[in-house]
Amino acid sequence: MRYLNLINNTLKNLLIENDDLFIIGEDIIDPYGGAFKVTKNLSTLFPERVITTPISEAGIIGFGSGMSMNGKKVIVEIMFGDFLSLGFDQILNNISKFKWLYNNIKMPLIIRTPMGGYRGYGATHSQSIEKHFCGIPNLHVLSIDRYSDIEKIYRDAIKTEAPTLIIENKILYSKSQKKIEDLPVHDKPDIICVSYGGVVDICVESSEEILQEEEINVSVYNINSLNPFEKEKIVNLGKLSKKFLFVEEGCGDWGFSEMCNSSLVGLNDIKTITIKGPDHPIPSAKNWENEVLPNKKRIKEAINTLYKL
Amino acid sequence: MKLSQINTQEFINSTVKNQYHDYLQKIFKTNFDEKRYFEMFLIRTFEKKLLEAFNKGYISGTTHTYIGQECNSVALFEHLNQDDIVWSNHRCHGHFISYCGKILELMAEIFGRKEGICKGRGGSQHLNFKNFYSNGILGGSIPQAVGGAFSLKENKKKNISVVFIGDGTMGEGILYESLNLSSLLNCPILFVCENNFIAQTTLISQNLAGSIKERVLSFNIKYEKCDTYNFEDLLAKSKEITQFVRDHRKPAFIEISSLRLGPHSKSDDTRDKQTLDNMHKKDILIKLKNKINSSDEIEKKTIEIINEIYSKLIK
Repeated sequence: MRYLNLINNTLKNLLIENDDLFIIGEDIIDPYGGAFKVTKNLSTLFPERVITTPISEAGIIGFGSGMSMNGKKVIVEIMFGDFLSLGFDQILNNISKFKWLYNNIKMPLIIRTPMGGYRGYGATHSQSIEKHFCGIPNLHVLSIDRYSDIEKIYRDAIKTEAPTLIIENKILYSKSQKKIEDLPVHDKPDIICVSYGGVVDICVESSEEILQEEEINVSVYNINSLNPFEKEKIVNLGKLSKKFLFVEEGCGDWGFSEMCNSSLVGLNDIKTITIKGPDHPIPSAKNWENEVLPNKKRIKEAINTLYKL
Repeated sequence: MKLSQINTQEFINSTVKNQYHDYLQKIFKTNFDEKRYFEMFLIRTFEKKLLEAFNKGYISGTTHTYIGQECNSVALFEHLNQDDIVWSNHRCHGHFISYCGKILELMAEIFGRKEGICKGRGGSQHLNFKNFYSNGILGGSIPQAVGGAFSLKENKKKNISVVFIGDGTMGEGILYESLNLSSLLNCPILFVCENNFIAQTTLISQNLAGSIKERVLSFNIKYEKCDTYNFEDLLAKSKEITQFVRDHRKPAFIEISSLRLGPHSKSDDTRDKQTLDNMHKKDILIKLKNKINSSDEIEKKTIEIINEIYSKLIK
């Protein structure tokens, strides 16, 4: 089943099982069914509980949290991850604080949104800005990729009764979903590659190709929980190899790669290379975009460099 | 029973509002005006005591006093109950006292004690008890109030949601997203705008283009206006508009013209003495006191109650 259909199915199942669950967002009702069709058919099945909203990202995030504080479960769709910044104050100064401030109130709220590039959408529709949300205490930030158990992640998130941000990846919507066992993992890897989101796929392809071309064993691991960060997972991987490659679409310092690197502090002789997005806005021109985002060429070069170190 | 016979400790112990109202009912019999005056004076005395505590260094942080606007809260909360959702703002003590009367837990919270209503986590601006919440960023919690109202509607309950804003909040974009959502989705929410004509130190003339009324009406939301200084009208309109939201399951907006007699925060008042003197001459509490022909007994007893709490906390 495709990534897109799996999310759609999960949302449908959650609506069927929870008559107090609502999905709200911009352009999410049929016949359109959302900009990426993630909510397709849901408003036809549940017209009272799948609600289309005005273009007010801050408003609907706040509105959804208000509902969820008063007996409802709520999933808010933000059409493009880039637009999440419009709701930043709501997330930072309001909803992430309420559970702690207000005597441990319940807030079963998921905000879900697609990040990522490779689609030629340009500077304001291609970013991966989740790092700006990952440092917020009491906000869970999860990422789902082709190897994640999507339904379980959604179900667990709603059960926490705390605000959760789920990062999807728009390049994955049309791809078929795989299993965690499908990730290339070697008993004695030369190099371990850690990534999340859409670029996990590129890491996997690079790993497969470089095994054929150079006979280098590269294990690929995905991260699902960005905040709190899966530090233990990386620490444990430190027992398997000394050479690490961290790959992310995010750009600039203070991000995913820095978290990975800091997880390995204290282990001897660790060598790491980081591949990130560009230090400038993402260009619209397709070739240029592919060149500056993580790609197979950059990943394989980094693997070769690491291998020789 | 006479007011002088109130056992202050008993009063403090019974400060969940429904209880203290029953309690005060016995004292004031059917004289609602005396009861209202007592509640207003209680809020004012509480706020003045806080300023004293700050000056003496007993509390750290900040506070935003409600002095001069007490009767807005007293009038509105006569028509609200604890199952209604209330979102207040940085200037929240008066609303909180009118919602539940938990003055001991409120003062303890501001003093940063674990006995506080949020165990010292929230302080002056971040309060919660049952369905009452306050938050410190202007306008930030308006959409929560609207979303809460939507939940109430879905639950087919007769309860409503209320959010308190001020003239300063009219500058925040999130307000307009929330007004739009509330009108589109028919949410039973009452927007209460306490217009004190000054946002921190900036006068409304430098802060607001056009009119509040026209902004609200453009969202097809019922609008009502009244004035702190016409208390009878404030009481009547509070009753009418809360009932409208309850019955029609639609948003409404009430603008209450008011005067903030105290500073924005602790001592940051840039208005000149003449202006402040003129405002104090209009003080609605003096007018109401004259109306009910009160002796000084209410004041004495209120001060005694606040002092008892205060002395416990400064020990």
